Amino acid sequence: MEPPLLECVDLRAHYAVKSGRCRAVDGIGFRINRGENMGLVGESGCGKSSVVRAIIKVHPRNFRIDSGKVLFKGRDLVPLGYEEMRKIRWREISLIPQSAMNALNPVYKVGHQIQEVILEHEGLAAKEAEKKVHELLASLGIDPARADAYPHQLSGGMKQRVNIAMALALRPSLIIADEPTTALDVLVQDQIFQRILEKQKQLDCSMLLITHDISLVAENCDQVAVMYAGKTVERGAVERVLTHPCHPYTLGLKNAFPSIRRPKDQPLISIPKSPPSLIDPPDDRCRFATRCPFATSICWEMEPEALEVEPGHMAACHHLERVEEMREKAAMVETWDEDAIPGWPVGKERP
Amino acid sequence: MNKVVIVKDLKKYFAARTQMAALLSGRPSGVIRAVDGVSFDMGHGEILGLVGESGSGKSTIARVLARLEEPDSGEIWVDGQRISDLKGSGLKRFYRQVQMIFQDPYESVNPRFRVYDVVVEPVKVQKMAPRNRRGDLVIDALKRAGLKRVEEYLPKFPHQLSGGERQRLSIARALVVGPKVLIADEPVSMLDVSIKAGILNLLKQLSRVYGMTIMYISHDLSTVKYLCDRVVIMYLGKFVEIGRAEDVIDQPRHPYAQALQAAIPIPDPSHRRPRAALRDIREARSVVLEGCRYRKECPRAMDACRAIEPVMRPVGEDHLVACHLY
Repeated sequence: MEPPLLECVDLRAHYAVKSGRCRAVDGIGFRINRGENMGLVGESGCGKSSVVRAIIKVHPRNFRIDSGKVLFKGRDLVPLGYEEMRKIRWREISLIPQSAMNALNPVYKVGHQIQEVILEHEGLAAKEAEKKVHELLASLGIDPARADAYPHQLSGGMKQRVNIAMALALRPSLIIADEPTTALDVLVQDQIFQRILEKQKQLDCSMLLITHDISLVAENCDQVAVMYAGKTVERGAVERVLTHPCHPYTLGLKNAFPSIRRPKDQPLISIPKSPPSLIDPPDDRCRFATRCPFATSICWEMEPEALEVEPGHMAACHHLERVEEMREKAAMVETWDEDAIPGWPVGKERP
Repeated sequence: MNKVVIVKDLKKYFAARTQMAALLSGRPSGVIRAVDGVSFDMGHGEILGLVGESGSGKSTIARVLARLEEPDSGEIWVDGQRISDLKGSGLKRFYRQVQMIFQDPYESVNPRFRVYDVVVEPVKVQKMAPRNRRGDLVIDALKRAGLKRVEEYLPKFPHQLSGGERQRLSIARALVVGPKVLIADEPVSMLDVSIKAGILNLLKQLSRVYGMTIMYISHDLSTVKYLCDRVVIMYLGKFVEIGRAEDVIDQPRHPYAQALQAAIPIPDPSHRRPRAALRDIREARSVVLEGCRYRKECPRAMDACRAIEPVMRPVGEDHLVACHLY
């Protein structure tokens, strides 16, 4: 059987900081098949972008991959050296960065910057590369003459399309899009996503979309992995996970997410308290236990393992047998009241 | 319903940054018409949503309404007072009536102030209470902002609070002076989904329980629909549509409002949203001075749109649209 395009197996990585190890990636597992898009959803600080760093191995010095595998077309990227990774970046895996505004070099013309990617990785003559840049820009709806513009002369949406052009220049098989449309207006966001999807179809490449926005995942992805405090808590096909969530965190997110199709009188419910610190977090419990209305003493004693709730749909929770009950209760406002969260179990000694 | 805020034909222009070439050639420098003749009112306890993309003039309206900027023309009445008449102590009292909450809870509070100091500052500035009564006001404001176990928070610094708690702190700072009008400029756009709902519910509660009049500025139609009673859609300094939130968001009439609504992603994988045709996203827009400002992008532009500027016309109960189609 053909291996999946990208598979992360129990990936763990940390940042060495003054007060200890910040374990931003702490047991991440997901799989992207060829031609599929996957959304990695989570709140700020849960480690989404660190997963990207671990995959493409572009990271600050204090970041280290501890264990796990990043299998790209069956080959583990973790042990690869600088030169070997360089051959994979852009040509095989490219990145649409988070902030369109700052990702381009302000002192070079945008055409030059795209051309550089092509020249660096493909033995093309400068003239041919330039032609390719023009084609790319035109295919993204930018007048090729704008190749001579500097980044500050372009609007935010255009800059992001230049980033997309750069990411697509070498026809990679995987694009990682890290919050590609935050800070852009909705109309522009909609157009950017349509462009990405259209080009993807032409080039037959997959996308890993990093976002906090469930609706973008619902519309643009086939698979989804939900991250919480460095871990994947639930993953599976988008239509299953988003319509039949099993993990209490996913249940909470679903009820907290506004939508224009939601009836006005249906209340939005927030998840009380905030995520735990990732600096040397305890290993013997569920990370969501501090905020979970369904937590019992076992959640404070053992870390739950990811179990398959239906083919291809995994969730890491001790109370999956209560999922119907949890779903029902999660839709009620009083369930998520701060005072209704059981928290630290009575009778258990605090360390 | 008695009106707490009445705004008539408000205009606020800024001088455009002059390019060197223009300066040398002696051409007059441009003017940015950030807000170009808008009128609206807000009733007691009403939540009005102000929607538009970046640069449409939303925040300028907020700043003028809070009298942080002077308008170029137009009149603003708050609680029966014309605010351009206010001076000195009257103006200082006015600042108690209209308070703002900002987008970034990390940058809008002084990081060296403790929670107590942040909230007590306006009380001191406004000389609202003798020293021994200030604590009660602070605690009351923090409670109304939805913080529990308030005493634990008082000695903390902002960096010790979570994003949601920090936004509640800036709401408490606004509430402590007992305002009638609260202007919330994108108060939840930087917050995570799981805590966003809490802040929206708090704003709703302030309006329903305490009768607070709230202007909610956002580009996110889904939160606007949830929170607001009425909505204004703005485009390049003008209002294009105003009406009840459900009417405007579920059935927008103005072509721009329709485009905006159609671009909102839906968090339901079983729903297939028709995607708008791909077109070139416009470049930096020069403001069209004659006719309708939206005509260059409008799929339904007609001859009339070029010549005549559309005015607000009723299309339904409490629903106005500025478009020649209606």
